[in-house]
Amino acid sequence: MALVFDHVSYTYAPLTKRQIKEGQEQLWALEDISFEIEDGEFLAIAGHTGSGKSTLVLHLNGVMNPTKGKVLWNGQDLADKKVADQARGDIGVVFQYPEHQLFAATVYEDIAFGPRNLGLSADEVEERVKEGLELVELDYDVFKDRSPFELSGGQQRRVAFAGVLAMRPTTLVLDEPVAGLDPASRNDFLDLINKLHERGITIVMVSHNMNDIARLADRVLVLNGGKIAGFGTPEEVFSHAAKLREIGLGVPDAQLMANELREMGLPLEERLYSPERLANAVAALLEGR
Amino acid sequence: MNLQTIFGRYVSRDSIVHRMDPRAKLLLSILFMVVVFVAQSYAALAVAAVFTFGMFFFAKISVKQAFVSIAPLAILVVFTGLLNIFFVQGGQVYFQFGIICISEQGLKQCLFIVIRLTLLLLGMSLLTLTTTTLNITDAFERLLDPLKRIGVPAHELATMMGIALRFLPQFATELQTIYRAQISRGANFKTNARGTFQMMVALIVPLFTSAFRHAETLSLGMDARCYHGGENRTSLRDLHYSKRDLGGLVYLLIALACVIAVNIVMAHFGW
Repeated sequence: MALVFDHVSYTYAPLTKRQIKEGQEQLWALEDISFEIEDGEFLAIAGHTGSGKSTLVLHLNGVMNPTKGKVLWNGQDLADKKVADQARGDIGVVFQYPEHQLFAATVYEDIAFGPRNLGLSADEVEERVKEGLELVELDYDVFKDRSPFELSGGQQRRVAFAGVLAMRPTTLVLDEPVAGLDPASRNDFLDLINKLHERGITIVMVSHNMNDIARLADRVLVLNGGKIAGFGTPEEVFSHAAKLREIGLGVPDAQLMANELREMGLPLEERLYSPERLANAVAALLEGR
Repeated sequence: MNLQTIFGRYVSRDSIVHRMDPRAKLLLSILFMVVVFVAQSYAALAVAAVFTFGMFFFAKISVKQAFVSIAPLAILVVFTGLLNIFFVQGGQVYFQFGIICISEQGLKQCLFIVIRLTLLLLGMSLLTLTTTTLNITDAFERLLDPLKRIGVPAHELATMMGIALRFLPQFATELQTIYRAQISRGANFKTNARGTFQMMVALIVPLFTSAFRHAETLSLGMDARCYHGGENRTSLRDLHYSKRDLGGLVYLLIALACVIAVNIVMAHFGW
């Protein structure tokens, strides 16, 4: 329970006294969000554009503070600046297109930025940089002295990841980590994220790709219009296909096909299907006939 | 870090001032500056102020909104005011500490300059409050048109100006994103001088790379649409002077006459 959202609401434009008197209704970017992130889990946050995903992400390490409610990190309120400063070493956030935030002359210097901000010694910083590059599967000796700007897009993103990982976060927050990547690097990245999760890092991933979510996540939080529209295991969430479609989200391809086959009269169970599982189930049905 | 309030952002209204020819507004802004600079006394400034607020009345923009729009530049006014307090000497001395000396003349001069500068900023902000950037660049290009003969690249200058203005809010948003990303990596912008410098680098380098990235994409887009500069280029909306513009000119000429008259009267009575 490293992170707890307790009735969090956030607005970009609080109403003035006069507007309240005139009876205008407050618009919320986030409204009454309560949930807990469990240690070691892989939580996916899904939602349509403008549903509040990115606003939620900014609350996870105190870059934004709730208008109402609280975000608690190990029981402490993240609205407190000192607490937020401490939390930033523990909760790593990788923003959308993180390669756009690279700035240093060498890959080494860029990755060292975070650890140095933690006040670590030079030796420790070097160790962290090595560790960061190793985690994103880039060779330390090959890359450390190169300029981040001469790398390929995928490599740049890995370096940006390494910069966050070098702070040794116990929770890694990823906002659309595979946006704008080609299919091959997409898969590489998702595998990488999965490996990090297997090492025990808590992952919070914002995504609108339901296939990725179904494959990787332990739990899914669905946002719609700033409110929680669904929260549970992928199996629970994706069983409400109609509701998801209503708010502009799909279900995983395999699940979609399973639903359609069931509607056509095939006696498939109501459960979550990966492509393999679905193929096996259909094969079993065909053999049994 | 809120960068959204930018000096004189366009406010959509249906007013005489909004419908004036942008070229006229650009030229009349210069005349307005003359009016404010001609004013030599508080009385003359007061007259200029009345005419300034009159312009906002015609533009249907509240004075409060006008002050909000120049608020980001308040620091400039305060700084100039302070300079005057400390460097203009004369008359009775109110306060002295080392080389710092606040005197009667300094305070008078300070107040005068602050009022004058505020009026100037208000008048200038009215141009951008009532004219879209597209129209301003358009007017800028037309006004430079005669200079094309002697080789001034008027169209190119106007296009650059337009692009620069268009990208300001874009870069403001990107700067905010970069700022958030760096503080998420534990950056603290209020440590010692060396730390602060490092943090500025961490903000400015990504901002510059983003500017180059945008420039490259934009030039590709322009090439793809066969953009080739101003030669033989016609405009979709032609600009025409109208009676409104003449009205604006008359208004400011009256203002100028009043200010000069007050100046003369004040000088005559030796106030």
